Amino acid sequence: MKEEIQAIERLDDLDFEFVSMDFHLYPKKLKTELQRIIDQSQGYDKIILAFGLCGGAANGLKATNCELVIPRVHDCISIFLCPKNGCVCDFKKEIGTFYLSNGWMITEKSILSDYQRILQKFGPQKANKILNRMYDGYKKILFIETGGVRQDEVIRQSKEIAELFKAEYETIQGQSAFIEKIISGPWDEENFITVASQGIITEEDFGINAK
Amino acid sequence: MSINKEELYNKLAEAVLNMEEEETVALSKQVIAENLDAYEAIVNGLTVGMNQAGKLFDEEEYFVPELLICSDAMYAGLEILKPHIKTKDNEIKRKAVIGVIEGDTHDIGKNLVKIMLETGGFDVIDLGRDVAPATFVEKAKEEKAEFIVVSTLMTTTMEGMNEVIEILNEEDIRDDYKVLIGGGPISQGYADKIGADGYAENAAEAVKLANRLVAAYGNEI
Repeated sequence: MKEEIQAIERLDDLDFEFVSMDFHLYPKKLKTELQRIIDQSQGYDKIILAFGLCGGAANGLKATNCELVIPRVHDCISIFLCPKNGCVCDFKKEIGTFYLSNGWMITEKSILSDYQRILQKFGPQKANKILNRMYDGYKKILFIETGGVRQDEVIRQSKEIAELFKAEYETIQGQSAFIEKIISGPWDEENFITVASQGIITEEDFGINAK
Repeated sequence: MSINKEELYNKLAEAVLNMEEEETVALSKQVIAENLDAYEAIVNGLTVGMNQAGKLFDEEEYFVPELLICSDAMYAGLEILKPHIKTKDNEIKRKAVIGVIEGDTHDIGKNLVKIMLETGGFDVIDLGRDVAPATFVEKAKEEKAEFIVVSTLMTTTMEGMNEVIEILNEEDIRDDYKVLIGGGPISQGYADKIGADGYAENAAEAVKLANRLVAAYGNEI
């Protein structure tokens, strides 16, 4: 979401820190990295995480030195697609949809390089077989357009992925209203989790409970 | 004996690790030709190679495609060795049903766990992906399985695991099964919270966990 956040006009008294997209595929490593940044951030009133539960990465994060705020969403698909609040995505309807955006393509273009690597080493038959086993659950690529300088290149890559998957290809206009709300507030309880200093964010905060 | 068996098992492990399917097959055939113990070759050869591949995956040297090709090699070796495993008369083969919970179609992890459980001597019934909680229970009953193994990659679907346990409780058959869970967003904390019997971080650990439960509960399940 780096580009999308940077595109928003912001207040002067905010500092931004961006986490490498390399963590996107590794939630447990992402958690360690987020906690490291939280721990070393001193002299702030509030830390806002522009993340969701993100595959469990946010579960157990501790507010070390100040208040910690995080959108009450599972991931940034909801952030991009829901302008007012982040909780309304119908994932059941979209089962089999592979979401892509400018930012995600930084890591997901690895699909193309994975394929090339296997193709060169083992030939097309094996490469296709492996790709099929990894992604045959996906029937549709949904590209979320959020602008950005590299978007044309990124759309080309995302179409290449759709061809490899033999999946449909659709685009949808991403929304920036919720991203603005993450940065500027108000951080209302319905859409955000706020924990005081020393508090811990849990998966229950995101609605994952034992019944 | 014409060949040092440890050396042969090491070669088997290496062949799996290096994604060499044909070599794995050739070495597995050699194990049989040399009249070595097939089970030992699986545990000390194939499984070791797959575990090493898993380690490289954790270190981000291998990626999912490499892991899948390693598992292909391991499976090819398994096909040859499996028929030669000497089963003891009093040994009961443990049965598991496995699947990805409803709403989720990510099944790479589930497939790896399935292969590793099979390699570990379990009889595994694969329910596939996007499986309703009730189906896990129905199939476990139908197949007289002792283990119900549930996987998910998404936080939006993980509560389905909870439902599996709830159904077992409602039907008053919770004690008849051991429920194991795993997948990206799952933690030991979540397993404890919903009352699952165990959580494993990866496929190799899943087999160890299942074996630990067999050792601890034996004939109770």
